[in-house]
Amino acid sequence: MNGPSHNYAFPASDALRLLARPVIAVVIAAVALHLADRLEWLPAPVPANLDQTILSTKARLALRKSPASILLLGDSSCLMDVEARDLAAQLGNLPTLNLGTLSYLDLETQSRLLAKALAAHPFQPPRTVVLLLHPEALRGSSPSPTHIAFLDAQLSTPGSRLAASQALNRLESALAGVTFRERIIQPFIPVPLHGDWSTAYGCNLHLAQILLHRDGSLSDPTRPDPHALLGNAEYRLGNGIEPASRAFRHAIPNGTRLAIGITPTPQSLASNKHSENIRRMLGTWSTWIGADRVLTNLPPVMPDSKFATHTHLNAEGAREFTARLAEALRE
Amino acid sequence: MLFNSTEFLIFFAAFALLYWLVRHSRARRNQLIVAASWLFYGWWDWRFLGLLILSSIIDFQVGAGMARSTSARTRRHWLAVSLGFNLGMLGIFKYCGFFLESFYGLLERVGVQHPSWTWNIVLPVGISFYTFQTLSYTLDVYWRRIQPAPDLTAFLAFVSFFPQLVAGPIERASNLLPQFLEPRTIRLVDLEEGFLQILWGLFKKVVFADQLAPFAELGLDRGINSLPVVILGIVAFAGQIYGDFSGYSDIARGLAQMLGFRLMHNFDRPYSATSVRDFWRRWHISLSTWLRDYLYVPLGGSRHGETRTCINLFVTMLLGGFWHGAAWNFVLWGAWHGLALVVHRQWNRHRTMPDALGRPLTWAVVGYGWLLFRAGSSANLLRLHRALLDLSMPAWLPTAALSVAAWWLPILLVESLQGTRPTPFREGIVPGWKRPAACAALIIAIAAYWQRQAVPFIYFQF
Repeated sequence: MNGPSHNYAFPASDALRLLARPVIAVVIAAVALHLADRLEWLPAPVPANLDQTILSTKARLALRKSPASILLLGDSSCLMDVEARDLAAQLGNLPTLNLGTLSYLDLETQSRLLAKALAAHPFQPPRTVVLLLHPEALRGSSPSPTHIAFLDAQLSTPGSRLAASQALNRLESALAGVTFRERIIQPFIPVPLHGDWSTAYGCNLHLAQILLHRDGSLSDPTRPDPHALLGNAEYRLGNGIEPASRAFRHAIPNGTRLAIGITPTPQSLASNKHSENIRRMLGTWSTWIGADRVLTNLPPVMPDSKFATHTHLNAEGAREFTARLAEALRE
Repeated sequence: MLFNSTEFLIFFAAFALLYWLVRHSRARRNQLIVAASWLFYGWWDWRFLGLLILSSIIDFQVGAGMARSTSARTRRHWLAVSLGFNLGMLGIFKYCGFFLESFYGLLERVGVQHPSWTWNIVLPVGISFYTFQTLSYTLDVYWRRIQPAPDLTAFLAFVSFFPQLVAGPIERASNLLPQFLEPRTIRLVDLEEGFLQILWGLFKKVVFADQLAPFAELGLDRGINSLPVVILGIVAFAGQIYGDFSGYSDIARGLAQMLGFRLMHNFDRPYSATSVRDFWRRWHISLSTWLRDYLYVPLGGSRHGETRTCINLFVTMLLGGFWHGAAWNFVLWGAWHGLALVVHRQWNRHRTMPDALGRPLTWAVVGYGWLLFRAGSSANLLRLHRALLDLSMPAWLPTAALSVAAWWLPILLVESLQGTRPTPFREGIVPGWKRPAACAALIIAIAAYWQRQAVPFIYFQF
């Protein structure tokens, strides 16, 4: 069985012309997108993932119009272990804002976030800045440059194109794929979150609304994994914490008190000497940071049933911890 | 190798160049198609390539054997060889584990001890598709509807043609096989339409189906027991499976068209169906017509009275459900559609239903079917049914519903423009000057949602 196989019933020039039309259209569309992006003609980029949604919303909260008397800063345990609205109510309706973010950010980045919040209300500084960190964050393990760069971009120009994600590949970058996704589609079409976060909060836009509505606090919806709460965690102050703490102190304005505290660890992860160790860590850390108040009355350990993950309390635990924090701040 | 992967783009570019080089020799062309198709298939797992080759060679020999034989008995023996091998292969790789587990489950219920060994065997990708394709060949030769393939290479190309090898359309030998025996003409319009069809298929898969997938998971898998959430999950899954599967078929047809081949139409705007019967004329057409021609009609079709017709319809759909997967939820799905077809048939004997009522009713029947299809386990199925009684609405539901509706919008828009035409980007539907613009929009959207780790097509698991 042989003979001619197939013939192309057109000259090569026609095929090239056919190919050229969509190529030119794609180039024009991509250039238009890049241009609109540069000239800030498009809506602010809306990130899809959980971390970026939290960070971009925190940047918006830092710049919000109403000033706060109590400003909470810290890692994700501050974000999820403290209910800002409950705390405000228990402190006699003192306006409270939770700017707790993620443990991927170092103390220097936290100071920049604080500076931005202070700059938004130069004549109404907060009465107290409360810095809450989990003992794991005090180890000072390496921070994430991508998270830091993302928050810095959000803080420098809110909604700036600098805040958009990085393209996965050169084609996506050349065709302005990130701009198309984050500035044209995602501002209008919500993106679902993953795992237990989707069950509790559905989409990124809804999570951002909740964060704004709850003055920056969030409950960790993760269903606890009992295996994650087994072990014997040993905590210590990391080497980088001392200079970072001293730098943080400089960001506190005159007339504002700095209070520091350590968030709790699950019972089954705490060693016999955990409470003593936490007290010692607090003592040293307060010297470095020059704290006006050291929240020694916060529980260093709480029952496993109050935790969603080994570093975050569940909603019930957060309510209890918030009450203890209010008590400690009132003293 | 997945169509929505970078490897495939490189593979197809290299193939297109070689294809141009062999344009003067039909034998070389078929050899190239076979080699490329085997590479395409072996990329996933080369160990199962042997099965594909063995199945093709056996059915080629069966066809030749039947052609040589004048005795009806010998022809029947040849047919038995083909049926035995193909169905046996499906039985071993696809259904053995299921029957064994169901049997163990039954023994456990009556308190009888059973051996502890299980049947853990990987399902070769595309086995249900190419097995049905080769079976249709031997059955057609047996019924003397077609002549057997005169050339082994052409037959191998017919069975393993890479655009449709792993997820259809399930081609008939009467349509595809002669195309490998004849010279093909590739017109400029074939290149253009094929390319647009590929882009539209990729858009349906990468943008539409993959973006709806998390909503289907949220609505049906995450354990939220509420009717509005389950409905959201069903609407999302209906879009996901349609975009995923019809997207694959579009890419397959587009690739084939660019190479000068014509594959059958597999989807025809199924969600605009006005009845369940109409739905099956529009959904996975290559399978529904296969089931009609090789199962329903041989069972007696509608030739033996109303009761027998209804039984035949039900059995055909039940087995059609079982073809999708070795699990009880697929059997239930098939039974549900069988029942719906029987009810529709009985209703139609006495009265008709206006389209305005038929369309939403069909949506409800098909949607409930998707719930059965997607449930996975009996525990999840029970949970989803319990959820149907709870009307509570999570606070995030409106934003999620907005998102699902927004992803559906471009598909509904393009399909309404398409009307009854077979493809959405024919000249006349999208005027010439708007085509490059549509093309650019599709390419940019695909690039924006193209994932580093390609998401497999749902129908690969069948």
